[in-house]
Amino acid sequence: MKSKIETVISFIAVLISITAIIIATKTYNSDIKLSYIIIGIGASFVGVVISLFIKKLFTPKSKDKVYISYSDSDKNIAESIRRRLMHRQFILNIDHSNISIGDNIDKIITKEIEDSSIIIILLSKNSENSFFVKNEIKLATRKKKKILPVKIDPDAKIPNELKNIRFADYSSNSTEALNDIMKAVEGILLKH
Amino acid sequence: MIEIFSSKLFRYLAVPLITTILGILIKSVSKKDDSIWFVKDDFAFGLNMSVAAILLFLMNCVTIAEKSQVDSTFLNQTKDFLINSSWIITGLTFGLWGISTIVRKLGWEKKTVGSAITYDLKIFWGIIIPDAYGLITLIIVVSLIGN
Repeated sequence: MKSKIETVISFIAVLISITAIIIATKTYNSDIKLSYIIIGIGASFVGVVISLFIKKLFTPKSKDKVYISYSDSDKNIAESIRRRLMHRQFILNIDHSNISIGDNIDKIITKEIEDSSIIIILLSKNSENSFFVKNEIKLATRKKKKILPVKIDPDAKIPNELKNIRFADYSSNSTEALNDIMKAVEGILLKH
Repeated sequence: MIEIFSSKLFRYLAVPLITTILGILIKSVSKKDDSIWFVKDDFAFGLNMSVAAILLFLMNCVTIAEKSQVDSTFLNQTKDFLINSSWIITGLTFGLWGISTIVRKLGWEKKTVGSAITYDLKIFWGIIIPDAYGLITLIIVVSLIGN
C-alpha cells in the first residue's frame, strides 16, 4: 500500500513539474515550439546511433570463436555465460540446440569445434547422460582444443578426459565462476 | 563561432545530440572491463540529462543575478524571471524526484539466470520514460536560457 502511494505521488510530481515547465515557457514568451522538441528528440536518437557506431569502432573484436557445450536442461546457465561473452564481443559458435532436422549432427559439431579456439563444457548430472556433451568432449580432446570445464552441479562427475583440467565451480559461487570463465577466455584469446 | 553557438539549430539539435553521445559513451567507458560492450543501463541517460538541465538553469540564474547587481536596467528586465525561477527550479527538482521514483518502482525486473538473481532495467519505464523526460526538460531549459 505504502509503495503504491509513493508511485502515485511520484506520477503527480512529474505532472506538476511538466505543468510548471509549460507555464514557465508561456510566461517568458519562450520561442519553444513542438517542432523544436521533435528535432531535439530526433537529435538524441541520432546521438544514440552515433554512440553505438563509435563504440563498435573502438571495441576490439576477437576473431577467435568460443563453443559452449551443454545439455538442454542446463540452457539457463549456458545463456548467462553466452550473454557475458557477447558483451565482450567474442564470437560464439552455434551449439547443438541450433541444429535443424535433417542436418548431419556429427559433421556440423565437428566443424564448429574445429573452428573454435575454446570449448566451454558445462558439467552437470544432465550432461553426464547427454549424447551431445559426451561427443563434444571427445571431439575437443581429440582436436586438442583449449577446454574450460564448468561444474554447474555439485554432484556432477568429472569425465576422465577432463580429470586433469582445473574447472570453474559455478555450483558453489556463480558470480566468481562467471568472472573466472571471462578471465580464462580473455587470457587465451589475447595470447592468440 | 558566435553565430554557430547562438543559432537555434545549435540549441535544439547540437545540445541534445552532444549530451546524448557524452551521456552514453562516458557511462559505457567507465564500466568494468568485464562488460565492455553496451548494456541497457548505458542508454538510461535521462536522469543525468535532467540534472544537467537543473544545473544549467541554476547557473543561468546566478549569471543574471550577478549582472542585475551592477545594472539596474537589466534588473528591471529580469526581475520577474528571477523571482519565478526559484519555482521553476523547485518544479524541476520535484519532477526529477518523481521520475527517479518511477524508475525505482516500475523500471526494474527481476531475472534469474542459473542460480544468480539479477535486476534488469525495463525498456519502457526504466529507459524510454526517464530519457524522454530528461530530454524534454533539457530542451525547454535551453530555450528558457536562450531568451
